Amino acid sequence: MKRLFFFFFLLLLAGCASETVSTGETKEFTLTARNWEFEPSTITVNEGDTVVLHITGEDDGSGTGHGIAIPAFGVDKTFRNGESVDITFVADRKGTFPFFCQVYCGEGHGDMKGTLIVQ
Amino acid sequence: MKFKKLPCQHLPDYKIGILLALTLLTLINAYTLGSSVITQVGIAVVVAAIADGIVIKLRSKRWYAPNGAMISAMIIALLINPGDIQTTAYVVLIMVALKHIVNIKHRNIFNPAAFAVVMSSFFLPVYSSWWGATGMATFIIGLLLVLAIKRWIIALSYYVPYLVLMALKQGAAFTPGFLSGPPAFFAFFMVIEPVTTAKTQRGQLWFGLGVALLAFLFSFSPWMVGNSFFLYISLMIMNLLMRLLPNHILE
Repeated sequence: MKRLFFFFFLLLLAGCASETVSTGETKEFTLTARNWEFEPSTITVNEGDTVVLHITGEDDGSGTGHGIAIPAFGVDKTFRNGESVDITFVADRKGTFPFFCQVYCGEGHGDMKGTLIVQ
Repeated sequence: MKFKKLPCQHLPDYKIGILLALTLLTLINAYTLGSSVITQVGIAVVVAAIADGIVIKLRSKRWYAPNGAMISAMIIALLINPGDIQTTAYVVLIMVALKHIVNIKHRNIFNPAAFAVVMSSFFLPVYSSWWGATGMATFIIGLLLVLAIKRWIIALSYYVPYLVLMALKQGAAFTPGFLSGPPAFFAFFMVIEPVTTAKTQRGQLWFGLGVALLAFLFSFSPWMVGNSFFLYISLMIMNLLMRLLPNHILE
């Protein structure tokens, strides 16, 4: 039983110590968030690339601001009108990952989404 | 004005209609968001069917299909983080648990999807993205659905006053974009839920109007708007009033 606990403890440590390492290039994108869209709404990168997003809010939604979330890569930022945020993450797995505004910014909020394509 | 009691709706047809409409919305959105959202909705339905099926089997000798939980699971999947299968599965499990814990005489008090999203928001990274509520498709499919299943009174008694009040508040003109989106999804797929709402036409009228007024009042709180709680909480308050007030008031 003690060995089992020790094994799981080591696994936990390994999990904590692991860090996503970029194996590709750094790709930068400038995005605009406004009622009710992201411009551009599709971002394409290669697996292993470091992705840098510069996002600017162009309006304040219905007074709540906007945000961007990409749960697959732990991205979760909010911003106000005129505010810019920089987000960096490593696209460490292939697939098509939706991104979206996580702040209810008004009646068109459902349309504020896009896709990150990792090839 | 004399209101009549609505005819008893044939539940399987009614639920099949909602399931088909939600499936259509999923497929439309998969075109832009990728196939991961189909997997997300599919897994949500399977998790709900298995979890609710097990609880039904354990609690009663008579087994029945967990189609109510499956509809709530689809709504949850279309509301929260697109493509986030893990979080969706957790929220669906919370929905099933709450459905069986918080009820009176085996009848839900709160709208299961709204209740689960609100409760799980406190300890899970749950965001109401409303990705299933996109464009005019939500409005057209939703309107056809409520007409087909005869739930248009409750849907429109929320939807029309809400849009009028919000247009007045924001000084916005009615545009096709204003008609679509979360308010349409909320009206045509969530407010209409039959177990937790009124049964008579008069009751449905008051219920929808109540949700619209509460949502409008709560829309003045940025905290309640940012996380969509102003919609969910309005619905849940009316759900609770339905159970607390004497029958003759909302029925």
